[in-house]
Amino acid sequence: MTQRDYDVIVVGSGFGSLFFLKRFLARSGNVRVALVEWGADRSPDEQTRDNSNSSRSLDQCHDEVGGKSWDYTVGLGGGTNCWWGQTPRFLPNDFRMRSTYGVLEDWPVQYDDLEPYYCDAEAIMQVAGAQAIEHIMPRSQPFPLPPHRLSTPDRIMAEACPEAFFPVSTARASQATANRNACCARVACSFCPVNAKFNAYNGMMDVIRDPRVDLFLNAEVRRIEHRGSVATGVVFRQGTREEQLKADLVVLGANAIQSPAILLRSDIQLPKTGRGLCEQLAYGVELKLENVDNFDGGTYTTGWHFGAYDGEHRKHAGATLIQVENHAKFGLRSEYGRWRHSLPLILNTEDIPQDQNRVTVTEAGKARVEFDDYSNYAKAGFEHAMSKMEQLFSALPVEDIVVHGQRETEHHLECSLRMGTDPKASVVDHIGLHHTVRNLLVVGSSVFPTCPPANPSLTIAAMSLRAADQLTS
Amino acid sequence: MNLSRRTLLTSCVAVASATAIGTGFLAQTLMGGSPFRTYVKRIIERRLPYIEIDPKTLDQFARDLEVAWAPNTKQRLASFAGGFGGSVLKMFQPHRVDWFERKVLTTLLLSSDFFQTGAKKGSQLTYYGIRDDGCSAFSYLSDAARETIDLD
Ligand SMILES: Cc1cc2nc3c(=O)[nH]c(=O)nc-3n(C[C@H](O)[C@H](O)[C@H](O)COP(=O)(O)OP(=O)(O)OC[C@H]3O[C@@H](n4cnc5c(N)ncnc54)[C@H](O)[C@@H]3O)c2cc1C
Ligand code: SF4
Repeated sequence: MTQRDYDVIVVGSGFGSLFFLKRFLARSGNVRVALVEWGADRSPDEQTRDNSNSSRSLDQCHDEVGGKSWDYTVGLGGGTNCWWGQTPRFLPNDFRMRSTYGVLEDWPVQYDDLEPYYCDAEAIMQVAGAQAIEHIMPRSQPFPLPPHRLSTPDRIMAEACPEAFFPVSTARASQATANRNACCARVACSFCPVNAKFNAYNGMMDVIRDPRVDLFLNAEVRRIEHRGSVATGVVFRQGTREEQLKADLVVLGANAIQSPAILLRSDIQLPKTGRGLCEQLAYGVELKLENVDNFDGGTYTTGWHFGAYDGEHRKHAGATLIQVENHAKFGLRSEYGRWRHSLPLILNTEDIPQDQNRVTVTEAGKARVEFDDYSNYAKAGFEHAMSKMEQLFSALPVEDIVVHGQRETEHHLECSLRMGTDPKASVVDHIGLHHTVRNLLVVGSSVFPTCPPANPSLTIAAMSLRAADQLTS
Repeated sequence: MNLSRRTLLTSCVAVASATAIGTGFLAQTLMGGSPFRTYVKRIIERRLPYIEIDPKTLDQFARDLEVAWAPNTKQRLASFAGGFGGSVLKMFQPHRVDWFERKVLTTLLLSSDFFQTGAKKGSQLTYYGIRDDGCSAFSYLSDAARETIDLD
């Protein structure tokens, strides 16, 4: 086994890692960084050609028990490749659930702490959005790009419910930028054919190609070496060869299934390591409209309804974010002249991290996900949203509401290495530093203490920028 | 609005048609035919009675769709089940049957001159070849789009 020395080793090259590294490099002088990535360097063109974002199939990466699937990308850029570019912020109350509603946990970071970092992350990703959303998510900066054109039903809704219905904010460009083209609503965002969506290849190559960074590809980190409470480096496997790297700081950003697996293999354990893995409970629902044509908006989804999100119901039922789709997700209607009288919705309901839903490792050291069920809190949240559906969309001529079924995955992995103050109830502290191994920083959605209904990646990015600031200041 | 009653009714109709489809699908598979193509053609005839399409063209569309959606049997079953990692059992769920049928007819309408020539009842359809691009046809040809995009 060969060995090399670095100042920092970053494990994985997805959202958590790259946003950390971007800010860390900007604030550091002459540092030596190893970026260790399990997957390959496959350009978006290669991914489109092969119809696959990942360089490895997911059944090679983890086992699943419990009949629920989980989805992520193993490859340079991680989830920036496959993601669809939805970039909501979390709401202020998402960070203070216990103090506001008496359930779940308060985050050790609050909305106001993150707000400047949200702005920075939006600037890096050139997010398009409408200032009106500051009504529920206070903003100190304008969006870098203007909002996308709303579809006709979205326009009606935005006029009727100015306090709850807003154009989406998204990292799918509404105008051409220096590195990206404008989105053309092609609705194939995992393989965006026009380079409209932010990804590592059009937005983070300055970080990956920085001369201070050595990139190791096809290198699976097997374990973190540590002496007592000090991490000393990592061991990775490249083909049949094992290699060891040493460093003063290890940043673990391997996603919420693989990061806990690495900690478990390394015997860096706390009671909650790997426990609580969750994602939103999601359903596809369609509103059949009387006489309003849909599908004329500027990007694949153009509106969000927050009417079932925050409120007193969260004491007993999860929040639901309703995403309005600007594409014929359930097909056009077949009746003559009624083809576009359809409003497809995705309902995303927050879940509770539950101990029995967890990541373990097999004897061979492969990650294994055990999933029992979504919580009753999440199920009640979905029921709550459905019970309000007619009222929420009363501005539209809705003739029928059809539940098309539960989605197998929302593609979000969260909460398996949660942030908190108590090492018995959480794994990392308010920055992301491991409670016992103090030079081990965990980034990515594994550290989320709760699982709000909104998509996670903008918050991951903001938290990573903040962690880099805190470690370098 | 009585949501549960309506959803239940939809479910009953879909279960009945799913059972019929399932039986036909299995029978044709055993006979070595192409149940997929036959089913696609029946969907078009049943759900788009207002279009005129020459049988040879419809046959070509069904063949193209079979190639585009189902390079192998596993994917064919998955796409029949709704394209979201479906299993054979799941493919007979009512909402998936309706979803699948609408995906088929949507692909034909968007792969032809139907909307470009004014979506007229009884007009003869010209089929261009599979085009599978969700909503963008409407995003760029609608009045709302014309207001904001210079199409010239
Ligand atoms: C189809 C799809 C659509 C999505 N759409 C959205 C969306 O619209 N909006 C949104 O907010 N989120 C979306 N997501 C979720 C988003 O991708 C994730 O939230 C995000 O990528 C998580 O960031 P992360 O840093 O925690 O992990 P990742 O981005 O997954 O990065 C983890 C990295 O670690 C690497 N890795 C894993 N194990 C190892 C190991 N042992 N050694 C070395 N490297 C390793 C991986 O290859 C990867 O590069 C979507 C996801 C999918 C799959
Ligand atoms: S909607 Fe289309 S153009 Fe826009 S980001 Fe997605 S794939 Fe790209």
